[in-house]
Amino acid sequence: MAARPGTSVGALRALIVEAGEYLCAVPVHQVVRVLRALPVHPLPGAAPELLGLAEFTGEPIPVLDLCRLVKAPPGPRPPTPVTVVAWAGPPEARELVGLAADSALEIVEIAPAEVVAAGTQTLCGEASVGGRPVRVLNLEALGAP
Amino acid sequence: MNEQVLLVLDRAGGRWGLANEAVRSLSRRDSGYLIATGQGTIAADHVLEVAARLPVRPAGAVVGHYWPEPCLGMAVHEGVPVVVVSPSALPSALRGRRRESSHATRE
Repeated sequence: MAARPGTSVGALRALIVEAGEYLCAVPVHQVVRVLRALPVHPLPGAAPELLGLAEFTGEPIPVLDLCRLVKAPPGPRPPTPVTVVAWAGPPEARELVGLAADSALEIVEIAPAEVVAAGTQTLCGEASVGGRPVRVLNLEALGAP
Repeated sequence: MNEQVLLVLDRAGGRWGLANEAVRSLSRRDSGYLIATGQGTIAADHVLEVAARLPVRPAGAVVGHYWPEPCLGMAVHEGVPVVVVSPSALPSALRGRRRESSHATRE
């Protein structure tokens, strides 16, 4: 990722979103749009992480429950939940997904050295932003076997 | 992405599409419908459109990972996502009784 003036070389620019009791960082270069929660149509028999399918710009996209994805304890009912539409999967086979989150907060920079590796597939690791722990998402691993 | 003529139906809270050419008959049954194909029957709560021409795109790896059921792809019908299925490999939500005789209303 090229550094912009005033940004640290190699820093990860990330959108911070709330998912239950956790804060999560979604790499900005993978974010397509943040919308008020899209209407989701269930897919019978899907794993709990997959809330269902939604329509986005005329295309069907899967919508994942970010809270379940990162195993966050549920928080209070969010007043204005959002859907973060983002690219997921490896670059050569990327696809659009929706991430259902409680709210979108801000864009921050996270230095690579601040990220402590985590052992799960969908998380790169954890970092501290403003004194609060943030789970850094690895969307490229979403859908991997 | 290809375009297919689909029978669009609701079942078990989901919206589904089935290649129209695979449909042999459609019959009213209790509170729903029974769709006969060469491979068996499909239960439907509602039939929304008999021949919607919709662009169908492959379901991605994310859907495949969290919904390990067979499907041919996905489309959008009147703003609602549709899962396109094959009568020879139905997801569990659509499986009816095999080769059931019924009073057909369409041949």
